[in-house]
Amino acid sequence: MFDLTLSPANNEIFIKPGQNYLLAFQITNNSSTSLILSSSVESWQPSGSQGEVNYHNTFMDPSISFSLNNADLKLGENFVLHPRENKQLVLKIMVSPLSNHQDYFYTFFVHQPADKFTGQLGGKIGAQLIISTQDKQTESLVIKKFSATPVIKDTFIKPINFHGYIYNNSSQFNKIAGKLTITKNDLLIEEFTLSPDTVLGGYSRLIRCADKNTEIIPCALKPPLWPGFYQATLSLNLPQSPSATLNFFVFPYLILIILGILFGFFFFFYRRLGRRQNSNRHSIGTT
Amino acid sequence: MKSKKYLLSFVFLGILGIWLLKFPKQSFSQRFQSNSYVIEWGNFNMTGGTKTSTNYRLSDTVGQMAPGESNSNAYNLEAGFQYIYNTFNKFRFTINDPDLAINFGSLSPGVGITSSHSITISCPAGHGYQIMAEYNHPLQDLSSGITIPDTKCDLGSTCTPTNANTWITNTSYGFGYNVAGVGATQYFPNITQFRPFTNTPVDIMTETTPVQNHTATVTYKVLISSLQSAGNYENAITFIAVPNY
Repeated sequence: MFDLTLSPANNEIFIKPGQNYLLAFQITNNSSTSLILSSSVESWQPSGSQGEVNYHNTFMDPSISFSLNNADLKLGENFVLHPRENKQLVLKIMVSPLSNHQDYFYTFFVHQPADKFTGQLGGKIGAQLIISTQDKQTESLVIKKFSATPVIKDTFIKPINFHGYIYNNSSQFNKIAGKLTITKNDLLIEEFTLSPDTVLGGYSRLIRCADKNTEIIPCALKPPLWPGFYQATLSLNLPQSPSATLNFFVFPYLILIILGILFGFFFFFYRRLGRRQNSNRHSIGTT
Repeated sequence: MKSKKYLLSFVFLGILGIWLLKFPKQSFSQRFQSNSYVIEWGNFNMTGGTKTSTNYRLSDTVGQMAPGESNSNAYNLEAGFQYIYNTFNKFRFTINDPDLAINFGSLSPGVGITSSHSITISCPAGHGYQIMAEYNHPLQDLSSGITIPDTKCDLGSTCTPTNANTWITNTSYGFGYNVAGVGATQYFPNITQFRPFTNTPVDIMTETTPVQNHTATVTYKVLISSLQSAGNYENAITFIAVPNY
């Protein structure tokens, strides 16, 4: 059985060219069997807008090199981790003085190789490394495609979900800091803190909302909602205070439609009943 | 007249009931008390709590007795209130198969054989995860080099390494897999849909929110034709789990 815990799982580091950096990972074997493990570093490319990665067609930039600082272990060498045992692996990241000033994306992997001769299943667990060799840049985040769904916003039926992307205009990764505020007639209805997700330079990230305990919650207004005009404002905590606003109208459309249909039916039957009574009276009068 | 009154009351109560049900219920936090005492602190210390500013959030506990981490071969003790946050950046991945090996046994032509195990993922906080799968090569008899082809699923519903499709007939031969569980439905809408493996990592299960012990079942299926040569066919499959950045 393969059962590993790796921490820290997400790492964002600034290293100046010519400098080294040590990063300690804790690896724990939670299984009841000993595992023969190995470690490696692979580069990745961003994929999607929710922090996904892919390992297709990536290459290891020679200006950044990796090794293990453990006295008894090298990167790529096998080591045994006994049941419930944990081990610290210290990754040394070396940035060449001639390195380009840019951001690099890697994963530090600990894996149990799949043995091709015994047909074993192999497991691989990774921790993400985002390394910037650039000087700290001015934050340059832009709000894009801020919207609310569904198109018809009913008082009762569905929650109103807010969507938006934060685009990083710079070449350096950055963190989202901001809030989503919903008001009605200038009265605050709901305020969400944006989850401090990382936006890579030149990429967009879908916004997520977090509660005060940093737990992810839907960026949504739950029904029932009072009918009327609402205003949603997405704003970022940056010196230039970028923000985007949208207005929408909430109304009990469904109830209105049901009442309309019921009224239509009553009106229709009332008319028919009236006509029948009139024709009865008419026939009584003629006989 | 009386029935009209009843009908109106019924409609009114119905609308009122729906309105009340839609409002969220108020909840109360737990607290411990006896006839003489009430404990409202999580632990005995001088001070503790959370301090926030626009960009930062600090949680502290001051003066707590004997905090720290200690461990033996079988146990890890994390003493101290602040350790409740220690799972924040831990990432755990499990392949629940005791031998880490799938054995289909003897195969009969035209009879699909399946075997399965589960995988479990936890990323208590952060940005979600991706689990990918890859193989080294198709099922192969290492002595002759003959392979069992990767499945293409049923005729008229072709599957690829990135798109699952229906594979239920006994005349479509090959080797493929299905994953069933939270996070996998976007790749495998139901248990009759399969994909072939490929030798580059392909997403099989992803979520974009923190999760705790989310489990999926991986089912492997092999179906051979009567023309398939006898032999020991094998390959190696690797599951890769990474957190979203």
